[in-house]
Amino acid sequence: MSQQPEHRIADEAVGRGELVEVHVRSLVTGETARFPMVLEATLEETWEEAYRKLDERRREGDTLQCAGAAEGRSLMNDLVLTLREVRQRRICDDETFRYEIKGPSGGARGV
Amino acid sequence: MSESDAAQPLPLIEVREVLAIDLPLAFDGLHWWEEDAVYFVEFPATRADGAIDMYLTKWTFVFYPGQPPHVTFVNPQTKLYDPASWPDAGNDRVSLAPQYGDAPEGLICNSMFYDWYYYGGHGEQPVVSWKPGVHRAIATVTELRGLLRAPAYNGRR
Repeated sequence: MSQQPEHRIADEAVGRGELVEVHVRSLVTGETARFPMVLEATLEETWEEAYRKLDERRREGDTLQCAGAAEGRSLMNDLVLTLREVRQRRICDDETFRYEIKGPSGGARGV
Repeated sequence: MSESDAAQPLPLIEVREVLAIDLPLAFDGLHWWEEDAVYFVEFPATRADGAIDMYLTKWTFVFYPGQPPHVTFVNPQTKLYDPASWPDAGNDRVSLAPQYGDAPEGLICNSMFYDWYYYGGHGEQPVVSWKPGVHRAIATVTELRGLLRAPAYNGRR
């Protein structure tokens, strides 16, 4: 992948402070990306970075959710929160910055 | 699914090579084993009160990875399809029909399952359909894991 996203993260890290390691697993392909993000990055920015690291494109209907202790809990209403806020509010119950991308599927009702 | 990509099964040896990579990722944390190209996987199901029930599923991958796996719930003693061994569960993505039309082993009604296309009466639906070269078995596991958690999971039948 392009070097640009890492340069962007490094630049932001200088100006915005602490870096943390984020783990994002694609529940479509099974691949996992591990990468640094600044604590002031939002979940939306983290999600976008995960697609770049996974070499995937966002699919219509994709969602972001917690992994780990609160596996399956949707983060779609929390995308504007920073990683710092997610940790402070214990949105995913733990503080390990582990997330999952769930792809669209259907069948039960209305599709 | 693209018919040109998905219509023909891969040679068994190639399927096994793919499964050797995909299944450890998909079944991570679950108890699973193989018997003559049939895979058995135990899934915990969590009720609203936190109680755990266990279910045994049977998986076959005849057209995988071009098409999703076939999955059914089986009796844990006989390891055979048994409508009474299916959970009572459903959500906005998945519904369960332990007995359904001509489906020989019931129907898990969701696009990450083989039978959805061939017994569920569903045609190509670009947004939700299994995409050869993209989707892997973990997508199927993910739907079952979501289904087998409260509030989607109600308990045993």
